[in-house]
Amino acid sequence: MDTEPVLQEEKSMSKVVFWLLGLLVVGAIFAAAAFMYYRNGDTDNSNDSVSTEQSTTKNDINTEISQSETDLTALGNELDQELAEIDESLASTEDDTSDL
Amino acid sequence: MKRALIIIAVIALIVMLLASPLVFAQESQGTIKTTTTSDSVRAKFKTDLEAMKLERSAYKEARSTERAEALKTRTVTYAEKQINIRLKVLTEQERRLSGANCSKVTSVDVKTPITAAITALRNDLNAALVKIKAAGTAEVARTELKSAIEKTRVFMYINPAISGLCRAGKILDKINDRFDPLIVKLKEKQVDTTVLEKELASAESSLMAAIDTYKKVLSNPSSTNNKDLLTSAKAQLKAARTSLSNFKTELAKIADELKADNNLRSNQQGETNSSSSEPVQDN
Repeated sequence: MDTEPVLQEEKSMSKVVFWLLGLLVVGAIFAAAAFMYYRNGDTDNSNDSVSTEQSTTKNDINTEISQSETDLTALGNELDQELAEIDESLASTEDDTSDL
Repeated sequence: MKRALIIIAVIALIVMLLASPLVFAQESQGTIKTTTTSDSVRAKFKTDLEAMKLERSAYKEARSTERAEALKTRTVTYAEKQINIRLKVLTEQERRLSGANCSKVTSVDVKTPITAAITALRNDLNAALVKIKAAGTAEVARTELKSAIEKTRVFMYINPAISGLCRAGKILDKINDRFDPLIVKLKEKQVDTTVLEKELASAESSLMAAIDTYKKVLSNPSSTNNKDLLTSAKAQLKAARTSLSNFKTELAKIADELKADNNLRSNQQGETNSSSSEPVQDN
């Protein structure tokens, strides 16, 4: 008669432990995936073969160059905008006091 | 037990699916967002400025037709509006100081000269406003307004100087944060970066010159030299633009060379692999 609640408690305890372990597994899988991703992005990885390393580094530089080119286009546009702003301001009449 | 394992597997799958965009998303690495011309302060106050033009015409007409007291009232109203729109523009510029173009600039101190200029201009405009409200005649109000506009030159010199200072600072930041490190990396790969370095140095020096010019304008808004200073800032920005454009052209050349080199390596790798797997034929 008395063993029934004890068994019940043990059962729920093992459930908790089981779920905690489950969460640990999920976390481990996720951490492993993230680690793999960042590891792939690391160009200094010495475990990769030389040709893969060179190729990865070159690809990274190509990506950076491509991003820089995008930025340079945007900066060019911004400078054009600034030049137009100077022209517009110098030609503006709001600060003209000749007819006051 | 088996059912619980399946549930865990499903949860793991869901978590990974939900988290994958976060983990695998490519960072934009601060790619610059292009701003449009509608961002200019002038564009923001377009309606007010048009209304001011009408007000100006009405005021000019009143000068020849209205009696002294009515003219004084009209002049004071017009002058107040002129001062207020300048105060509004300064407030807008102050607000923009915390925006993307200005607040993140680290290469040069843009905040101090801009804040100092805005504070001084605001004081001048507020002082003029007090005098205009207290003016006994239309002539006094008119003289005060004229003096305030000529002293502050918010539209002609201050607007382009604030905007240009922030923009030049932002571009300098970009050079320091992206292009300089890129040159270092290219050098590590034995790429000849002579042209890149030359163009970048030239862009930097032009931008620094423009920044100095803008600071001079901000420190003395009423100077008769400001028109020439802004014209020279324009030439400096143009020079910076040319240098950055040359930098971009050279970068594209290098990118092509790197790609060609990469393809060559891949082909050689492929050939080596296929030749090593083929049986050697005796002649």
